Amino acid sequence: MKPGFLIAWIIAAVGLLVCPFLVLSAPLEQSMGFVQKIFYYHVPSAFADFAAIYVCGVASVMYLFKRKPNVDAWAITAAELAVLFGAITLVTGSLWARKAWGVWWTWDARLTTFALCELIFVAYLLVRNYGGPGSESLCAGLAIFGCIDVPIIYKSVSLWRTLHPKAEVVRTLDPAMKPAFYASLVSIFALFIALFYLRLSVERRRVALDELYLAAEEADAKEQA
Amino acid sequence: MQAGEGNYVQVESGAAGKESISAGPLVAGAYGFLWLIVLLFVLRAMKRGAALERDIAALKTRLGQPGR
Repeated sequence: MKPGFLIAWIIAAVGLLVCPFLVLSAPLEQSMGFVQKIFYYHVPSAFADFAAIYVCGVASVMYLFKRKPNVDAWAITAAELAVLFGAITLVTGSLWARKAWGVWWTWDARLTTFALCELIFVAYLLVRNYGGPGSESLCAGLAIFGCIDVPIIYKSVSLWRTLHPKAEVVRTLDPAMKPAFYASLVSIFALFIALFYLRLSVERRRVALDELYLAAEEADAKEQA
Repeated sequence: MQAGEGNYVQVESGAAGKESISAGPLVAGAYGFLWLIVLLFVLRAMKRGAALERDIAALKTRLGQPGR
């Protein structure tokens, strides 16, 4: 196990065990009360989702130019993490909305653009799994579409009239709430790195297996000749 | 008369008409979902990794290369 991978796992595990205590000890928000504590997991998960989307986007652009399997391994790893952290963001947001807005879901601009982004990366994984040869290039294009959606998601609360809290909520956070938020942010990013390492090592084994299959086919062809 | 038919009538006591959803289960659910989905992801990745490792070892043996 690489040291970086081990450190990321330790920070993530310790952080995610300690964070609930910091979150519970953080002061209650005036208008929303206890349910606002979902924010401490919801927002860092959204940031991790955006990080995964951009890693996937950059790797996809590099793949379109260089066609290297290792770069593609980064793209598919990041796409899976984009779906994972996107799902966490959507579910935690929905739980918060049930209490704050009285509904599990509403077609608000922020929610809709985020759901669209999640669907782009679900489509990415479906095409990669069932699309056959050549799906790598198609998915690279999809990942670029996903990247374009991120600034739209971020700006959606200022571009359209929405129910969702504004993006400034993190910058203007009460100082007493900041330790819990930043601890949660560090833990979730450590988790992101740890999961990235884990999934990338699996993808690298898949690339190695593909190369071995090609070598085996060549060896069989030589034997037959 | 069925519920919802006729005029809406104000309740006598303010508290009786309030819908109360407890925030505790929602906050716990959010944290629990995070752990659950991460756990499933890790288990799936480890299972796939182990299966790939077995296939690699089998192919290396077939090709006459030493295993890992």
